[in-house]
Amino acid sequence: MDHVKVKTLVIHRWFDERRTDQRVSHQWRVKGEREGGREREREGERGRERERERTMSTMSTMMVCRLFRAASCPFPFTAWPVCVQGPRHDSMMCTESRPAVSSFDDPEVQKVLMSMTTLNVEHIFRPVKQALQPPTYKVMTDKQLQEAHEKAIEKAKELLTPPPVLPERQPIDEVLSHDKCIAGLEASKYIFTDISSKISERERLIVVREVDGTLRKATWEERDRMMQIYFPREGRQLKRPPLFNDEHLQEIFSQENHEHVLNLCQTQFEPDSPDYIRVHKRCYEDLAERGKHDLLKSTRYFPGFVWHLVLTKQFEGLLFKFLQDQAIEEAANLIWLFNRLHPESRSSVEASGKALSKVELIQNFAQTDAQNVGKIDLALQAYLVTTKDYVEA
Amino acid sequence: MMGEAVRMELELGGSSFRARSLAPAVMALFSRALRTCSKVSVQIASTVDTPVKPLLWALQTRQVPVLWCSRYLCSSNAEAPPEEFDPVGRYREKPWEYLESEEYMSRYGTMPIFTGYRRNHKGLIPPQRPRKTCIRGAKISGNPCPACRDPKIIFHPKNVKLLQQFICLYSGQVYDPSITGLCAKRQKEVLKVIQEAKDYGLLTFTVPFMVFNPSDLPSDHIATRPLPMPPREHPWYSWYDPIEPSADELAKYRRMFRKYLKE
Repeated sequence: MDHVKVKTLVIHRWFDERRTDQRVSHQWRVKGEREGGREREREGERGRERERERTMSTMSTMMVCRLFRAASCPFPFTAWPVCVQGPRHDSMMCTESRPAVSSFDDPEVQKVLMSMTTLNVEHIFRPVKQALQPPTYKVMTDKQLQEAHEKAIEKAKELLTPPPVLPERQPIDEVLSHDKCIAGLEASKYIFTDISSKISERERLIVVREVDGTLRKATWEERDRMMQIYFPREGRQLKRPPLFNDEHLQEIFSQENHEHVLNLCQTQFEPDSPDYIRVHKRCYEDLAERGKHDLLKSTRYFPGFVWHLVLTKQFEGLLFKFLQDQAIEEAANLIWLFNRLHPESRSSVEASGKALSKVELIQNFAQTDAQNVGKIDLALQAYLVTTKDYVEA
Repeated sequence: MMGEAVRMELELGGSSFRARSLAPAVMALFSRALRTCSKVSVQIASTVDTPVKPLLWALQTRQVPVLWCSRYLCSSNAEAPPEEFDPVGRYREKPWEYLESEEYMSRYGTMPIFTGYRRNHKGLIPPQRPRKTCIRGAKISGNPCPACRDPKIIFHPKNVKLLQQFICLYSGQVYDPSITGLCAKRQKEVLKVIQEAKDYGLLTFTVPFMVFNPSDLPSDHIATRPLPMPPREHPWYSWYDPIEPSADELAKYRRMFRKYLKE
C-alpha cells in the first residue's frame, strides 16, 4: 500500500450505445430477474449480444490507451473470451437452496415489516442538530392543514424506506493480462480509473498495473477508494473511521448509540460490503442481547433488524416484548414471517394449510420451535387474561 | 500541603523573588508558576478574606515549590533532593476525572470553562482573531485563555463532557474563539480532538441522510463480474516459455558453424 501511485486515464468509449434503463423499479430489482414470456427472452438475447459488443469495445479502448505499449508484445486478440452472462443476482441472505422462500424485497414481507415499524411522525421528525434558521410561519385553512399533514406522512414513509439487504459481495480476483516483459520498469503500482461522467459506480472499469507487469481488475477496497477520490460522497471518509472496529463498537453500544452507528454505516460503506454486513450484524445482536428493541422502532433500520433476527432465529425477545405491549397483530406477523423464512421448521409445517387465528399461531410456535417456551406461554396467558378482562369489563 | 504553602507565601507579604536565583531544574519546572505568582504576590495578601475568583484561585494553586520554602525557611531538609511536584498529576492519564472533582466544581461550577472570561484589548471591538498562543516555552502571557490558565484542562477524545462545552447544543457547530476566548493553538487542538472523538464514536452528530439509487446496487457488468477465461494450454506469449528451435533451423546452424562446434 506504501508504493501505490495513482494515475488516471480517461478511457473514451467507442461505442456509445443507447443506455436503456432496465433496472429501475421501486423494488430494487436487478437486471436478469425478468418475468417469463417469449418477448422477454428475445430481449434477453439481444441484451446479451449488446453486452458482448460492449465488452469488446471497452476492452479494445483499454488496449488503445495502454501506457506501456511495447512493440514486441503483440496483444493476442484471439485470446479475448466471448462474454457470457454471469450468474443471476440473488438478493436473499440465506445461502442454502430452498424452493420458494421469500426475499427481503418481497412485497408481502415488506408490508409486514413496515407494519411492525410503526410510523411515529413525532419521532421521525424530531429536532436534530443542524444549522439554525429562523422559523417560518404559514397561515393555512383547515383543508391546507390537512394536505400538509398528509404530505408530512408521505415524507415520513419515504424516510422509513429500509436500506437494501444484500448478500456479501464476491471478491474480485481477475487478471486481464500477464506482461512479464515490462516487469520491474516502474517502482510502484498504477491504478487506472475510468472517470467518464455518465457511468454508474458499479460499471466503472478500474484496473491495476502491478510492478511485475500484471494487469488485473482492482479489488473492491481499491474500487471504493478510487470512487471516493474522484467522485466523493457526502459524509464518506477515504479511510475507514476506527469506530467501526469491534472494540470501539462495544463502547458505542454501551451508550445506546446504535442508530448513530447505523447511520454512519450507510454513508461510509456499500450495502454489500463485508464491513456493512458485519457492523449491522453486531448492532442487531447487541440490541437483541440487551433487549433494547425499541431503540430502532420507527426508524428505517427496524425492518432489517427484524429480518436478521428471524433469519437467525433470535427473535423470541422481540416476540415477548410484543406480547407484553399487547401487540398481538405484530406478534402474529412475526410468527408468520418465521414460517415463511423457515418452511422446513415444525412450526411452519404444522401451520401450513390451516387457517389459524393469531393466538393459535403463536401457541403453535411456542409448542414446536420456541426455545423459551415457558416465557412465551406466560406472556400469552397474561395477554389472554388482560384482553378477557377488558372484554368482560 | 497546598494550604501550608499558600499560607507561607502570604506571611512573607508578597516579597518579590527572582526566578533566576533558584536552581535551574526547579526553574525549568516551575518558572511558569513563579512568574505568575510574582505578578500577583502583592494582591494575594489583600484578597485573602474575600472569595477568590476562578482565575486567581487557579494561579494560586500553582504552588510555590517546596524547595523555595525549604531553602529560605527550613534548614533541616536543605541537603535533600528536590521533590518534583506535578500539579496536574493524576489527571494527565485520565483527564476526564478532573471534571468530576470538587476542585473543578468550586472553580467552574456547572458553567462552561470559558464563562466570564474576557480578553484585554484596546477599544470597544475585540480583535477578529485570537492570540496565537498563551504559552511560549517557559513563559505564560498575561490573562491566559481558559484552556491555558488551568493546566488540568486537557483536551482528550474521552473527555467528552469538556468537549461538549465547546459544541453548540442546537446546531452541532464548534464555537468560534470569539465566544470561547481560546488562543489559536488551543482552538486548533479542540477542533482536532473533537474530530477524533467523532471518529471513535464518542461524540454523536447529525449524519447526512443516505438515499439509495438503484444504480448503486450490484450489477452483472463486466467491470465487477469476473469474465470466464478459457483454460490456457499455451503461455500468455509464446516467447515466455523456453522455445525449442525446429529441426531444420538447428541443422542449418549446425552446418554453418560446424567448424566451431566442440563435439
